[in-house]
Amino acid sequence: MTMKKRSESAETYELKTWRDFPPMNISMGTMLHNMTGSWRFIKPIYEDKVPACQNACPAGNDIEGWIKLVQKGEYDKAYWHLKREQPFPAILGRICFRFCEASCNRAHLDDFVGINELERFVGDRVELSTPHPDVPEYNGKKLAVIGSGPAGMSAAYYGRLLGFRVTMFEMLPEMGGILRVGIPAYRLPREVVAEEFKGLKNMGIELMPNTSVGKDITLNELRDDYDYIFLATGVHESAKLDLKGEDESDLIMSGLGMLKKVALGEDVDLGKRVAVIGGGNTAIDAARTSVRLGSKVIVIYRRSETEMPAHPAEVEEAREEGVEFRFLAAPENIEINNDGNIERLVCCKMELGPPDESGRRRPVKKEGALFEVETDSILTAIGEIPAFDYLKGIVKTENRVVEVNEGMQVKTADEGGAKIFAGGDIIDMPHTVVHAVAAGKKASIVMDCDRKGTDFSEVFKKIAIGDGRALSFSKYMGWAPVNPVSQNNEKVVDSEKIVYDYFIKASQVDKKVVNADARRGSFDAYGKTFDEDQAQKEAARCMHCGRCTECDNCLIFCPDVSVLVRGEGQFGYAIDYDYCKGCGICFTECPRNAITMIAEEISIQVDDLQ
Amino acid sequence: MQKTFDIPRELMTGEDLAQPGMLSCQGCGASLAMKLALKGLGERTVIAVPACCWTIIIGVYPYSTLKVPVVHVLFETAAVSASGIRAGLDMRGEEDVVVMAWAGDGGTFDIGIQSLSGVAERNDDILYVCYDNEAYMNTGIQRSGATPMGAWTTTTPSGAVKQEKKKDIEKIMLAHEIPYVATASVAYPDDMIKKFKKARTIKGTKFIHLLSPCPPGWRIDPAMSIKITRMATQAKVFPIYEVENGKYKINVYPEKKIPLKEYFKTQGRFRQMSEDLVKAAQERADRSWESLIRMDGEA
Repeated sequence: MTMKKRSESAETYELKTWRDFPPMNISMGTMLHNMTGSWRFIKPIYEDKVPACQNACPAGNDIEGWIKLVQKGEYDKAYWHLKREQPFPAILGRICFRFCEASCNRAHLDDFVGINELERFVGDRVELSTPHPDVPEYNGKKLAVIGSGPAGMSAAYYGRLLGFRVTMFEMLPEMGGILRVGIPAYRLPREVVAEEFKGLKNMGIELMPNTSVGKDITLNELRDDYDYIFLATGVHESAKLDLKGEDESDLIMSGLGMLKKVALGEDVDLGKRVAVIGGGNTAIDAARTSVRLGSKVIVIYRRSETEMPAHPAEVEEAREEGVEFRFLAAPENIEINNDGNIERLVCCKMELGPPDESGRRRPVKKEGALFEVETDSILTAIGEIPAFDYLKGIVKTENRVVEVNEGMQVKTADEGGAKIFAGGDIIDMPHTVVHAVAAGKKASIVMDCDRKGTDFSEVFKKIAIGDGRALSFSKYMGWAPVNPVSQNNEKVVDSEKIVYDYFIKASQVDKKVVNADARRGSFDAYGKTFDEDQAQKEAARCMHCGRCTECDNCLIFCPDVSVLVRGEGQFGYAIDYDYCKGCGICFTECPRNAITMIAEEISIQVDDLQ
Repeated sequence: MQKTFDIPRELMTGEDLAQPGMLSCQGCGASLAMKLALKGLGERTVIAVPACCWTIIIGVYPYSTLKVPVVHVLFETAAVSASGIRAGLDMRGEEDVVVMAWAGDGGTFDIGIQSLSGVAERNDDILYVCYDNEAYMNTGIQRSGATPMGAWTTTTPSGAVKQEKKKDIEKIMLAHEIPYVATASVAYPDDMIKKFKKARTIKGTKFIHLLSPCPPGWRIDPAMSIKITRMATQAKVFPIYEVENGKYKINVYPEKKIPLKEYFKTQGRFRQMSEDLVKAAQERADRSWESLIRMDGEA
């Protein structure tokens, strides 16, 4: 601190006899010589913490940080700041499962902050093809990324930022994996994905579409050519219903397969009525895509709505578009007639039993409670399974997943060649895009640790965010945070630490979603990106949990005039520990818990007291 | 969206007329009250302080934490001494100087009330501030006329907590028909500073009743003092309003309203309060809040 110490200007006088006092009752100076700081046994320090949203994000997105930059109108900076922890704002800003919003502390006041919409706004402000400004020189190591879905994209992006020479292999003619052929265009426009890949290419990442590992090139060949391999081939086949007649008709198809066909522009004829089996995001995507193809859709799910893995907002929108839901029901029998058409789909009513290993209540058949559903085609979306043929003899797979260690590394049958890592839907973790992005980030950090010969588990301890679910790439790179104050990456600020008295209610900015009738007939993206005004309004709702905003509360409330503004363009405040009595008012009145009280080191010896 | 206090940064970073080194306890509401009051009044201020916490807080003679003149006066004479200082300043032509009597609740509600009443009757041009910590805290927490019903003090000890209600000092002052009577709280600093700024511009006797927390006397954690003071307003037991020339205006309509019981629970001094007293206190608070709302905006 460059500020002049106030205690240095303290005046004291020798006052031994009455003559030393002033001739009349006037004071001779201030009490600055009375350093009340010695009374203190706990002291306040300014310390930024982890907001609940960032803690909930599997990728550890520094949401508060970039929202602060949005509020300042520094959109470019916000974009690059966002991309530090989550490289694809324009994509995730549209389709993320938004764990952040579900844990937003603002929900205890009025409603969560529309983080996803803001992320989309930030992503759309900048040309996605702009390469990262600080792409480093190659570090001499080569990384092959197999699969170009979100996990692969993330591994390639971070790998390149760490200096690897990266090649991405994709078996389809279009890059993007599930983002391109799984998620329908009305949710994620094709151009956005294509532009992101331009950005990756401009960073110096080599893209190899139409290259199937296992057919065009073998994994062992890649192992010889590269130093590191990241497997991110995802899941592209639907699990079977295990019913008689399932394979007898072309009108019973996998939801994912149908989505892929539509995405690649192939003809799909589903007939007038479609039954979708399943309750996950694929089921909803398949249902809403079928609506757009002109069919009437019913979704059949074996549990109740509360257990549905699909995002509630998606379910709501599907309903608006006319999708019907039949909960607590499962297909029992499919009868195919001689023309290959579906004669009838027989379902059985279910009821919920005790919870299973996933924590959700297990559906149990109600014996004899059968009913029929009239349908022309059936789409199955009861879970996806990966294809692991290309791994045979090299990597062991079990229960449809590739086993990885804490550092995302895969055990191989033999030593030698590239070290293999895996991420995304092929490993045992939740199947969301943001989890895949997190996996890619984690794997590239471990590869870099391996290259440098450092122990990744030690590194993880230093760069873990909050509960340790996510890793901070910024911290790994030593990039400065938005607030130039000390950061505590362990402490999470949940709603109990927020002083809600200091916030006024303000409802979410209306997203102005296109009405359901207009949505039904079109694959165009619905809902517009926020304009600047809307974004500013929504950003202003952020409570900046755990991060100083220079709101002046500590300065105003200090009874001992011991909080000082740093001034001279410096951020934040300084505490004058010469006088701070450690009352803790600044700590309790900080609206957002950006101050921490710590125990004072007691240095008094017993001898001093005698 | 944040409700930041409407206090300009320059005011808070400007010269501190209250300097650190104060001999107040941790989390003292009175220190904070003085700091904020002087932010509102500025340096052309003279203060008369009778026996109260501030006699001590200010420091040991010949030193003073305040950078404005302070006259220490006898316990019962805060108002009338301020009047005398006013007369002297007027004779010297220093009419821009504001004279503030700064007394505790004991010196206002009990010991100083006759001289205060006299000053108000004559409508002498002073600002009288009662920083109310609801007991004689400086001498060791004795009951005063401002101590609320149900509170423990050393003279209303365990088993015999105060049964009488707090004096309604605003009504007493309003009966004198002085131009300005206001309540303020350190938990609402922007409102408080505004009131001091306003009082500076009004001629005649001004009376500001400040709620000022006392961690040792209220038996609370110093860190919680502002939060609990804010709760007093949220529980409507200390409503924040002003009466200018007889016209009432409620300045703070608390967004969050809490039952008085919650407020009592936060403080050790109310630990022995019986359910009956809590009920009586709640009824009284509701009644006075309703009558305040009825008078809001009325001349």
